[in-house]
Amino acid sequence: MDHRHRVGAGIQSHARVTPAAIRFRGVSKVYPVKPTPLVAVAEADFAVAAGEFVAILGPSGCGKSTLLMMAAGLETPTTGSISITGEPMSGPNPHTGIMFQDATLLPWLSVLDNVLFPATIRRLKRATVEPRARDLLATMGLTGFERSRPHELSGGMRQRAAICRALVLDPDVLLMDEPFSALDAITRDEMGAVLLDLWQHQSKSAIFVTHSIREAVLLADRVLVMSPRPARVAHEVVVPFPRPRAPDVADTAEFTGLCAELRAMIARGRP
Amino acid sequence: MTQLRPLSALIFAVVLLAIWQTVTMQSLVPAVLLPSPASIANRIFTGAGTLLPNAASTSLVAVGGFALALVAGLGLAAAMALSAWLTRLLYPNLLLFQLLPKVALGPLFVVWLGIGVPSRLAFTTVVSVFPVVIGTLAGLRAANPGQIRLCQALRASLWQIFIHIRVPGALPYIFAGARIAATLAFTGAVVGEFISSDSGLGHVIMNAASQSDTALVFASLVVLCILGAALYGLVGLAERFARRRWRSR
Repeated sequence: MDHRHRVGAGIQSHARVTPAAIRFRGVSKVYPVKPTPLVAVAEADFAVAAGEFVAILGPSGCGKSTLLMMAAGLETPTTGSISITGEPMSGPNPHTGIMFQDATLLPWLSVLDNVLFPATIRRLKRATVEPRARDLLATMGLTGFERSRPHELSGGMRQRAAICRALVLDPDVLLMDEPFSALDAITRDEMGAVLLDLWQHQSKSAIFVTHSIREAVLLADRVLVMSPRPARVAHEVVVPFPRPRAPDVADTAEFTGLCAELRAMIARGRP
Repeated sequence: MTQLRPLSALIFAVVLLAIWQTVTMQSLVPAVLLPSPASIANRIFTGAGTLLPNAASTSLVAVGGFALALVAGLGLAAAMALSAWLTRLLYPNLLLFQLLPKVALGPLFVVWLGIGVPSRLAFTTVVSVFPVVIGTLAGLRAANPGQIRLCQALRASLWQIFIHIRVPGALPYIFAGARIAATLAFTGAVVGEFISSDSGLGHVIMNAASQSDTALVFASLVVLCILGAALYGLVGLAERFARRRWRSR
């Protein structure tokens, strides 16, 4: 199996013709707290290719969410730089969509209006975006709930609406910060399947932050294993399962083997 | 929310009135101290010529002062929510000022603005503005940080965050403040009339009491009660309308 996994921190070797969707170059994040500054991310150096789904896997509190917040432009790196489709980043990028741990739907808006919220903020004509919003809701099995309020939906449905919202302006990159961690185990599995299915039809890049090994292996093309704080990329593992991928890939011995390997990597901590 | 049970409350009130009526009919209490409900009802009709124009005068001051308090309170709170600098400047002073019994300021308004309607309007505004400011500011600040982060990720401006997140989120707080302000507005108007005026239900009450026309005092109280309930109900209706518009649960 080992020949398929390139293990190590040197990740620049992802040679593609198109520029990387996201590239981190020597990115560190230090919070100036007293008495000793808190280093959340140290020397993060990696790229996500166009159309690639990368999972960032690490223990809770290792700084992986900080990594994603920097990719979203909600935090600025202390050192280093991030570029999105070749352009250096300055603040939130309009070509990215984001999902948080909870759905963060606005309770006073209908599901449809929530999905259209990015269009509202960008002052786009509703009529131009609404068909896409309705299509996305249909793909996510939310037809008939357009006029419902978020509190009338289950947790899984709310998070599916949040996926629609993240995708409504057709971003190149989807950033997900432990999007299923607030859901129960069964809904979580269901959401994994939904996302997996969605990715068969999308050619988007994604960064998926998670502490679930299973989820990472099921969804990603590549898994970056982070070290405990400060977060640095400790290992990189290419997931060998071809797409289209069905959720039952998780029942294969190869899948469980890979999960075990990743678990060992996390347990070992630093490289 | 506790469910209102209008029927049981109504029965209770009727029983209370019946006891009151019985006690006063037996002449256990002199009518000048406690007139019977029936005589109060009667006084409302015989005194309608006095009560109606004075009720109009009090309502004008109370509703006008309430409206001014809403405008001033919402404006002040919005300005503070948008400017941390202004909050630092004003908020502690506001809290300190809130500790003052505003009613004690009444005579000052007479000195400044005389005994006419403008003086009482200003006084009523000052009496009722605080719950609006404090409520609105609390609501605007209580905005969900996740929702704000979502807006930031979408590159929303501070103004968009204010309009799309803070204001709809603050509605329940704003209406809670407005409901308190609505009751304080009548307090302000009547106290203003007590201090100095030639019209209004407060004026009627002072006059009637000095002439031992206790029935007219009670009749004025009944009218005040109806007016207060009407304004309170209006605020409730506005809240229902606003919540249907924004549906913040």
